[in-house]
Amino acid sequence: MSAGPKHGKTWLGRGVDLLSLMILFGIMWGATFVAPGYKGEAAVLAALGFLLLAGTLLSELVEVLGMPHLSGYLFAGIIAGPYVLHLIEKDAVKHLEPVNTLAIALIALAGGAELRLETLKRGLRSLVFALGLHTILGIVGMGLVFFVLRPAFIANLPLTGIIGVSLLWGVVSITRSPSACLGVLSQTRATGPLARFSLAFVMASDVVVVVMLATAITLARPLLEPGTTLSFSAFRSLGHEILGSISLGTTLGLVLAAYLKVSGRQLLVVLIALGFGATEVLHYLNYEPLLTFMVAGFVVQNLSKQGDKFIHAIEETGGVVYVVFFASAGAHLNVPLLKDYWATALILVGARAAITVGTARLSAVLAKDEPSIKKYGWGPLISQAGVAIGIASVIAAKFPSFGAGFRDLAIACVALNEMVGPVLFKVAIDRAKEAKGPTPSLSDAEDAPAPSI
Amino acid sequence: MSAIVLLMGLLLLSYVGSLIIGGRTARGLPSGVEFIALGFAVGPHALGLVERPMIAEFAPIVQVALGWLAFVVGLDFGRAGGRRVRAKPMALGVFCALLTGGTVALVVNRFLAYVPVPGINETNGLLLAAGAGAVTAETTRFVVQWVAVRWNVKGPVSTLLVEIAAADDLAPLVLAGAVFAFMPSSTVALEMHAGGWFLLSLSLGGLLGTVTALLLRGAEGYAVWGALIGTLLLGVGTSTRFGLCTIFVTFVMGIALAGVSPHRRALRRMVSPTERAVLYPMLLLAGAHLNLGPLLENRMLVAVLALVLMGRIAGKLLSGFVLRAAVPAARPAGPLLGIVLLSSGPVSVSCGFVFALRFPGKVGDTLLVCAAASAVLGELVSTFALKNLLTQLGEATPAAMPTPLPLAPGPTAEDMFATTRTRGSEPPGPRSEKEPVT
Repeated sequence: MSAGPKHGKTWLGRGVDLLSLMILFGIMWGATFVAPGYKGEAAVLAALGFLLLAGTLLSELVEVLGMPHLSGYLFAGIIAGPYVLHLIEKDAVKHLEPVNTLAIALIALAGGAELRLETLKRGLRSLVFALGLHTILGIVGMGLVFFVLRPAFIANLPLTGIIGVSLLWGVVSITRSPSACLGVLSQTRATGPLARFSLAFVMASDVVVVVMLATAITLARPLLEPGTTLSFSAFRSLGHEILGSISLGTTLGLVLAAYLKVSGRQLLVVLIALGFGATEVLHYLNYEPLLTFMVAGFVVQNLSKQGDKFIHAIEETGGVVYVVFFASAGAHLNVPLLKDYWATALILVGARAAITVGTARLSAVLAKDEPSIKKYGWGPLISQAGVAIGIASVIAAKFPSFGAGFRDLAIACVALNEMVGPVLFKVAIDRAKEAKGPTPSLSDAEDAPAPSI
Repeated sequence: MSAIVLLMGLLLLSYVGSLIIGGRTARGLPSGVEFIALGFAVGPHALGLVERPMIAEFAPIVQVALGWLAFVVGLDFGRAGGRRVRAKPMALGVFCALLTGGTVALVVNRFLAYVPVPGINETNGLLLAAGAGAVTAETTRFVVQWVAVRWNVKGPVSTLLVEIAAADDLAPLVLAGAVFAFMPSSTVALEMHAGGWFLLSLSLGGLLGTVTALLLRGAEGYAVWGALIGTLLLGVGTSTRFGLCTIFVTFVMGIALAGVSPHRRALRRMVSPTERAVLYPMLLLAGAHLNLGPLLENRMLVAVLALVLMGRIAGKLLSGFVLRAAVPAARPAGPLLGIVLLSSGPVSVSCGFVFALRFPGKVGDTLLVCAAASAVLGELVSTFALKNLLTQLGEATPAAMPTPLPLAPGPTAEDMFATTRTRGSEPPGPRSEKEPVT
C-alpha cells in the first residue's frame, strides 16, 4: 500500500479510488436509508466491511497529502461513525471490540518480534536515558501544567487532591501508542536507527507505564482520600502480573518457535486462535496480554531462527486487522467531547508535545545518539491511543469523584494526539530517510505460486 | 461449553480443512456429511455440548462463511479443473438442476395443497416448496472429484459429470435469491415488488464485485485480502439487513469480480485453498443447528421430507434421461445415470442453512433437515453408484484400490480434462510444478 515508483498511483487512479469510496458510502447510506434503525448483527458485519474498505481507500487518498495510512483509517471511522454521518451506530462500534483484542495481540507479537537482542544491546544506553528522562520529566512536567491549568472538574478538590490528580495526569501523559508506531513502521517498512529506537522505546515504555500507574495510584490515594494510609499492596499484584506475564509469554514464545520450526503451516488460523484463545486465558489469570504477547514475540525472534517467518506471517494477518482496529478507533472518537474540551485539550497536547520534543533532544545528547535520533527521536512519542484511554478509564473507576471529567479530558487529548501523532512520525521517518519500497502487488503474483492464506 | 471453546473448535476444524485443499485429496466423505453429523452430535438436540443461544451468537460468522463459500463458487463459476465449461454441458447442468428443483417444488406444493400442515399457511407453504426446490437442485462437484482421486478416473462421461456438477450451482443459488426477494425484511422502509428486490440483490452483488475489482488495481500484500473480505462483509451485512439472500449476492459478486478483474487467475489461486478451511466449520455449525423437533412434533413434515427426497430422485432420474438424449457419449451409461447425480453437498447445505437462519421455525428447520437428508441420501446411494458406473464404462481403474493419501495425490479434475483428449496415455502422476501450490 505504500507509494513507490512501481505502484505509485496516477491522478486517474486516485480518481477511481475516490469513485469507489463514494460508491461505498452510497451503499452504506442506502442500507441506513432503506432499513433505518436496524440493530441486528448484520449492521456489525456491514460496519466491519465498510470500515475495512473505506479505511483502505481513504488511506490511499490521504497519501497524496503525505499523511500515513493509519490517518486515513482513523478519518474513515470518524466520518462514518456515530458522531458524524451516523452510518455506523454506537452499538455496531461496540461489537467490533473483538477485532481490537486480536489487533492488540498481533501488535504486541509483532512489536516483540521486531526487538532484536543485538539491537537492544547496542541501543541500551540510549533506551535507558530516554525511558528515564521521558518518564520523570513527562510526569513532573505534565503534572505541573495540569496543576496550573486546574480543569473545572477538579476545582472543588483541596490542594493535596489537585496534586494527586496532577500526578495521575502525568502518568496518562507518558503513555505512547505501540499500535500507531507499528502501523507507521509497517507502512513505510522503515529500517534504521530511528525505526529501531522508536520500536524499542514504545514497547518498553508500556511496561514502565504499568509500573508508574501502580506507583501513582498508591501515592495519589492518600492525597485524594484523606485518612487513607499509604499501601503498597498494589505492587504485590503488579509483581504477580508482570512476572506471570513474562513467564507465560516465554512459554508461549517457545511453543510458537517450535511450531514454526516443525510445521509452520496455516499461521493465519494459529494467530487468530492465539489472539482470541490466549487473550481469554490471560484475562482469566489477570495477566497483561500486551506484555505476554510482546515477550512471546521477543522469544521467537531471539531464541529461535524463526523470527523473520513469524514477522511476515503477522504482517500478512495483521494488515487487515489493523485497518479495522484504527478505523473503529476513529469511530470511537467522541467528537462532541472534543468540542467541549478543545481549549484545555489543546493546551495539554501542546505542552506534552513541547516537553516530549525537549526531553527527546536532551536524552539524545546525553546518550550520544545518532543524528537521526537526535533530530527526530520525538517522532514516535506524540501518538496516544488505547493505552492512554485504558489507563484513564482505570483511574476513573478508582476515583469516581473526578473520574468522569478526567476520562473525558483524556479522551479529548488522545483524539488530538491520535490524529496528529502518526502524521508527525511519518514525517520524521521520511526526513530521516528510513522508509523503504512497497510490497509486491497482485499483478506480481500473477505468475508466482499461489500465495499462502 | 463456552463460546471461546466453540470458536477454538471451529478454528481447529478450519485448520484441518485448510490442510485438505480443493478436493485434491479424498479424505472424508465428498458431501462432508460426517461434519454435519458431528455438529448434530454436539448440538443442542443431542449431547447438548453446544447450546442454542451459543449457535445464535455465531450466526454472523455463519453468514460470512456461507457468503465466502458462495463467493468462491461464483469466482470459479463456469470453470471445471481450471478450464472453461463447454456451452452445452453448462446449459445442461443448469437445466438439469432446474428440472430437479422444479420437480421437488411442484411435488411439495401439490402435497401441501391437498394435505394442510398445522402451522404452515399458504405463504409458508409456497416458501417451503420453493425452498425445497432450491435446496435439492444441485449435484455436488466434490463427488466426481472424490471418485476421480480414489480410482484414477478418466473418460468422457466423468468429464461430462464434472462439467455438469460445476455448472449446476447456478440454479439453487438463483432460486434462493428469487425466493428471498419475495420476503424482504420487515424492517425495510422501502415498498418494492419482488422483482425489484431480486434486481437489487443482483445489482448489489454486481456493484460489489466491480468495486472489488477497482480496489484490486495495484493492491499490494494484505490489501488484496482486505478488499476481498471487506466487500464480502459489506455484501453479507447489507443483504442480511434487507432480508435478501446473502449467498446469492456474494455468488453474483464472485461472478462479477471474475468477469471484470484482470487478476481473476491470481485471485482464483489465492481464494480456492480457503474453501475447505471455511467449509468444515460451516458444516459443523449446520449440524449443530439441525432441529428435528418440528418434524417429530408434526408427522406431516416427515412426509414432506420423504417427498422431497423422492422428488429429488425423480428429478435426477429425469436429468439422466435428458443427458443421455443430449450427449451421445453419455448413452452407454444406461437409464440409471441420474442416480449418480444424486450426491449433494456444500451448496445444498448452504442453501438450507440460509433458509434456516432467515426463516427460523418450521420452514427453516425443515429445509435444513431436507438439505442434510439429501446429502446423506447422496452419500449412501450416489458415490459408489458413480464408482461402479465409471468402472463399467472403463473410465475408472477397477483394480486400483483407494490411493494412499496424501502421499500420492491422484488425478484432479484438471488432469481428467487433459487425459480425456489423450486416452491411452500414461496415468497422471503427481502434480506438475505449474499447478497451484496447495
